[in-house]
Amino acid sequence: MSTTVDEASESPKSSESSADPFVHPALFYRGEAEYLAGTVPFVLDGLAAGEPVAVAVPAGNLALLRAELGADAERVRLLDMGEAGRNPGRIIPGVLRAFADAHRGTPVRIIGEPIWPSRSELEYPACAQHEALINLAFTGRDVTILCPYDADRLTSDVLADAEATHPVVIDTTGHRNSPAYAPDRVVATYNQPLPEPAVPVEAVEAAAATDIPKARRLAGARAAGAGLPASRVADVELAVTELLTNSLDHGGGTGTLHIWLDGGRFVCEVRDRGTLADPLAGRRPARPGHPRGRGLLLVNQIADLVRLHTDSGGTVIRTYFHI
Amino acid sequence: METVGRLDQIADTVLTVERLPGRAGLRVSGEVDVSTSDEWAQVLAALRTTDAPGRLDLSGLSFIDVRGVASLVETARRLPSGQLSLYRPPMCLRRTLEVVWTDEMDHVVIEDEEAE
Repeated sequence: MSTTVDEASESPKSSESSADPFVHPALFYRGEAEYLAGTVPFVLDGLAAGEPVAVAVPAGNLALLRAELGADAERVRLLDMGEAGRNPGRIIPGVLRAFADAHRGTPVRIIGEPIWPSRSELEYPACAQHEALINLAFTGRDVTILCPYDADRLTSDVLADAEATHPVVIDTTGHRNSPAYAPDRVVATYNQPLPEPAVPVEAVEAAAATDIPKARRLAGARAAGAGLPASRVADVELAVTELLTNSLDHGGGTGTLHIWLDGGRFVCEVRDRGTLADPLAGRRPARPGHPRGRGLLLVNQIADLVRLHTDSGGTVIRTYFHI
Repeated sequence: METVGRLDQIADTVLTVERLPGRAGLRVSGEVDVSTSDEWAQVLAALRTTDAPGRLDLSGLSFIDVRGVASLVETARRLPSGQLSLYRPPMCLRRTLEVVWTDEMDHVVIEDEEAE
């Protein structure tokens, strides 16, 4: 897979001596009062300074914050992270950079809560990798992203990961630098072979361009048969086409499509022999005048969950569509 | 390991193009992806030499991939008018534009009603 460097976001602008303007603290909160004490002043200080402020948190916390902010809530971009960030892979391009890039040239504040107690085991590795990749995606940007963590209800492993994905941790004792900060390690730790499906799997190999429309039609037929509505069948067809096209171009010339049903989810997975070297592939917003390289971005935006494993032996991209 | 199925029973994709009767523009039917990218490039080249207004009837198109949309938007951007009308494009084209082409939406106009 090709590596495109987006000079607008990732160039190391700061020398070793100058501090990176990007700030990415985790907020460990226990209960509503601590949640509000940790988030409301962050929002109000931003508004007072004339900074654009966005809040992308799960619906319950969004309602809590909206009520507490009162009229000030109208000056804040409010998003339900359960919807906007259902697939963690779409949060950087679709939520965080979408907001920050719309306000270039001014400091921007965002509250982003991508991890909550009911995130499944299936989703969590993608969540942790997302948190780690925020650091890479925003290096050099004058942006602050505050990430609340429910310290009462999340496991100690999740909180330990948060200390590795955030350079600073905030709790009732104040701000502290996180000595465990090691985002690359988190990306690598959760880059694991995906669990084999426990149900029968249909598999077809695409080794030539003419196989791609056939694989697409098969996936579309299976998606429709599984009960997905026409708009989601179209999304499945798009995802399968983009993944297999990437396999033909960058994945050793052959991609194998696997299709199965996992409870209430329709699953499409593409395996190939390529290695995805760019950790931000599919996580950069589209740039005007740069029409190429939008396939994985599209897959991240339309699937309910994308899980990925890549190493020197090949790449597996598994996409989930809720039925 | 599971058996890998075969795809050769499924028909090949085709892309056909015809001039719109009585007006400028082209009508395209079939599917656009890497297997029909040469034909799609020819359609877009023909659009550039067709008299204005640029109009593409996509009511017979059932699929277009991201690259197909990329070259379509690029063609529209380079037309003298900077704009191309798409008549009844498939759902996947609308979806791709809405999700990853919000930056250049001005170049394409979607029409669902027959003009005039």
